[in-house]
Amino acid sequence: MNSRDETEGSERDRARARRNASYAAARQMARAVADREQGRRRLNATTVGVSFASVVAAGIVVAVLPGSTHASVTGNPAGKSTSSSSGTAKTGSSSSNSTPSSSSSDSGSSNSSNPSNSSNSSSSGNSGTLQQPASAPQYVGGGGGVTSGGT
Amino acid sequence: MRGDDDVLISDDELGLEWAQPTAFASWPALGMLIQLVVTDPALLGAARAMLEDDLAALDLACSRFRPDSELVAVGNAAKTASGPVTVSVSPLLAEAVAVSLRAARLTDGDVDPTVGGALAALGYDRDFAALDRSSPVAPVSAREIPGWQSVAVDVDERRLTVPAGVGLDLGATVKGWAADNSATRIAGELGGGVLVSLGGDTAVAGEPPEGGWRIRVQDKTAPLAEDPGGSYQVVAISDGGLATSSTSARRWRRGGDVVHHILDPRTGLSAAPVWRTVSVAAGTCADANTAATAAIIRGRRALAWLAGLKLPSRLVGADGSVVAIAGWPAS
Repeated sequence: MNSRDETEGSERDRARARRNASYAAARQMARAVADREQGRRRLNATTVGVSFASVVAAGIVVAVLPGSTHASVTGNPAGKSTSSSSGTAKTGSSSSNSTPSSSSSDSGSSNSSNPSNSSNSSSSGNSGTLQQPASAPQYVGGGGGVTSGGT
Repeated sequence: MRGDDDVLISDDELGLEWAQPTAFASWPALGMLIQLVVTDPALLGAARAMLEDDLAALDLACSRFRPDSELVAVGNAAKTASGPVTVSVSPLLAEAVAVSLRAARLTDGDVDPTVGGALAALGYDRDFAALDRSSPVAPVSAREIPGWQSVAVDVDERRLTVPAGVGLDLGATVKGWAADNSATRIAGELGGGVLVSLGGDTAVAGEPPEGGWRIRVQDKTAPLAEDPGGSYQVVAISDGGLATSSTSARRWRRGGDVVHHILDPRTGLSAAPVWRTVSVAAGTCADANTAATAAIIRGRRALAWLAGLKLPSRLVGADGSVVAIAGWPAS
């Protein structure tokens, strides 16, 4: 094998390595997306015994961990909150090994609040104004079908 | 679970004036009156089951009174903290908070979700039905509100950050937003036209009945069979949502003062009763809910604000006089 062959061989190896790395990243991303969607479906299926209280308890564990809780939360592309040292807080699961009593917290180390620039809403829209109706109400008189008043 | 107060009958039995067959159900839940109408009577049972599921999830996530709710857990974490607290929350609560922050931004802070602590300080710290409405203790006094800018939520990452000691109250937006979601979900999955009203905050989706969805706007949400009392009007909508806020509902005494549940975040006290009742139609019920509540807080300034936004509105003054603006029909 001459030096040209060796060069082409190493280039092929590097290309193969890049492809493999790319496939692995894609698989990882797909898995992350799938995990995330699965978690969302679980949480959206409200009648299958998902405990929101346990979800929150898990979240609080994240909040009270020492160090940068922000980093520990954002480090997982699947959007799951995973604590690094004291058990797993697995958001989106129907069970949690966190302890609700840990909610007493002094989270001085948690990230400071970011004014709601980071907030967004998918179902109510992100429009920059209150939306007008497509058509105004019409006076009909007579009996109503439902009532609308203060509650 | 269905209770004795349930109504589950057709519009024919009620003598309603829908222009085509519809079916109607009404029942109390979450401290308010739930009303559901579908244009295909055969779908009423399934639609009700879906709505009840949605309400159960909403209550677990957003209730200010259930000790096992997510919102209460967030408040408990904030109560003992010395600084801002970041917690992981469900997608439902994350989005509900995001909707409340959007409302705050679009109303220049008139509708502020951080008034929960002030509401509790005024005595509204439990389900309204269980409230001592004539408490002689502790006259009301101004209370500082943490402010909506101190709250941040990342819906995608499901992270909520609140300042120490804050108590969130999503009442000004969550009913309308939930009505939007449920109406859209039910119409999308079952077909036909659907009206969902949560305590009078009404969203419609799908094909409306001929002539539109008929809604009687009045001071307090109540069963149709009850006399509306005071000023009322029947209107029809075909899309979006209609919501009503009123200082006539949820009033109680505190230390000799009469207070109500719509707080001005600048004072932490009940808004001045310039308007007794405000009804607004908007592209979504969440937006209608937001605008109606903000109008109560803005007082006279609400007229120009609502007109500028082109939101059809009906405002009833404390003296009973009625103002209709931005395309709201005159009687």
